[in-house]
Amino acid sequence: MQRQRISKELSKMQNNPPQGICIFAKDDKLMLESKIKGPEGSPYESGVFTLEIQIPERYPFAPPSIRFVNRVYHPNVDDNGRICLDLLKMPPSGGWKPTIGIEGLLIAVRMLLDSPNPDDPLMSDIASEYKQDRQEFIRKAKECTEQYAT
Amino acid sequence: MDIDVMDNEEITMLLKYPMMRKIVKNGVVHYQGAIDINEIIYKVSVIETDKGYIVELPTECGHLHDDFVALQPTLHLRRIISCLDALKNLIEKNVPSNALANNCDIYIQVLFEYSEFTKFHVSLKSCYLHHDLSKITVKMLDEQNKEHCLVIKVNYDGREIFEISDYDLPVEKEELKVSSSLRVVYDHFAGIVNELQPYFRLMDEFDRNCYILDPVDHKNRHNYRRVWLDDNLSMIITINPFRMCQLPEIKFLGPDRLTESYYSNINRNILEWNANEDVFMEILKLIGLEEYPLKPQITIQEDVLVKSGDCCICFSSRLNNKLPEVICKHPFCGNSYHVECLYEWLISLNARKVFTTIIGQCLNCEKNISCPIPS
Repeated sequence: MQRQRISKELSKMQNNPPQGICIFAKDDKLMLESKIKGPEGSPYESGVFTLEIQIPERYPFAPPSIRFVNRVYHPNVDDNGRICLDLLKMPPSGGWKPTIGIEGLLIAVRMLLDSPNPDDPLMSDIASEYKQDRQEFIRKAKECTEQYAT
Repeated sequence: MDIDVMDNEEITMLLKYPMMRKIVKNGVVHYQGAIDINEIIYKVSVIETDKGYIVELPTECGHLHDDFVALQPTLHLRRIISCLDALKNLIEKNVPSNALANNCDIYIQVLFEYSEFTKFHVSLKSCYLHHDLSKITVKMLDEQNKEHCLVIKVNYDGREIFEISDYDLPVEKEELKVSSSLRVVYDHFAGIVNELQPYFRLMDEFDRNCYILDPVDHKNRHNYRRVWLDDNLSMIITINPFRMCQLPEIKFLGPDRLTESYYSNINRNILEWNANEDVFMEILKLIGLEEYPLKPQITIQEDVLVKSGDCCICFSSRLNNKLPEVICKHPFCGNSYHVECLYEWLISLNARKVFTTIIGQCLNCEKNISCPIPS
């Protein structure tokens, strides 16, 4: 059941990819890789980010783990590429649901790049910079994107 | 001085299995020779290792290999006699003493029956006897020129010789005849096919005129059809193949607000059910429709992930051959789930169990939903 659903999700995304996102399976179907384009108008605009998606045994009853491979300067992404996103966690603390799927998560991650959530930060210094000195934040995020994701 | 002495172990072996010889080569102990079981000589070769005996089974007993491996742990290590005893027992148990003689009789009967059968049943589309005399494959055409294929197995183990092992009819295997006459087996099968003609006609009518959601690849043995009625709404009609006049079992799948009106139609129209009329049209009258809805014109996009009626957890309609059964009761939601999928999700949320159900929220509308706990 799990493999069937993943195959279905993958072929749908490959035939009809969501904007700025592509995905492919690595050696087996439980490890996927995705490339997402930085959203236009954001400091990440010029970059293409690689994400590693690990499908757990219990998928879709448990959410996949998603991690940035490139370094990203963002209040909700830490140095190891871990992402702080509600949808990536199980309820009751998180908002994962089996109906979301891989595509939904990737869209949410891309949206997170566009609009960080400084009130639930993983990197508190970046979050306070984002709140207090937006110009500086944008400059650093752009610099980091150019250095690591282009 | 190096003397090759015979130990007690070997003497015990020779007394019981005089045709076996112990050979020591490069420090490895082999036992070779033959054993006599029910007047049949079996060639045997055994190598002694630290982990037990490796036995090369006689060629005619090759199929017993796995059984013998399973016996290994029970054998007394370093006692060749226990190994040979076990082998002898295994062969005695599995190869009937007069197996060869018996099979000859069966071969003759199979060949005879087969040639008689092909002589008399000229109406068969095809009939093949497999080279190893293990089965006969028959294809026949019924009244409506529908092809039926059956495989008749030859039993060599003392049961009735001919037994249908593969077929496609909505009947249990126990209902098919087993006999030592090929004609009896076949004629009985053909009789059932004949009796089922009205059933095949009805099912064909469904397949031709309705949009069937399930079974996708329908076979003669499938005595039900899941018929599309509307987005989110379908009905499962289960027919009793031998009692066509009987009211079929009809179950609607969809949100309550849609199914309720159909159930009340059935309650209203049930008295008008006329078993002598065309069942296909009678079902239509029963559910209160003018005609069976055709496949929707707007073709469903192929790359839609979850089609209406699919389980929105596993994204498919069939899971272990079951269709989604739990449907959100909330008007305008009607999301469907397999019992197993929804249960698994609710249990991972530690949802509340009440007697035989588990209660949680619909993944779509977040209203309460209850799911039977699968057995």
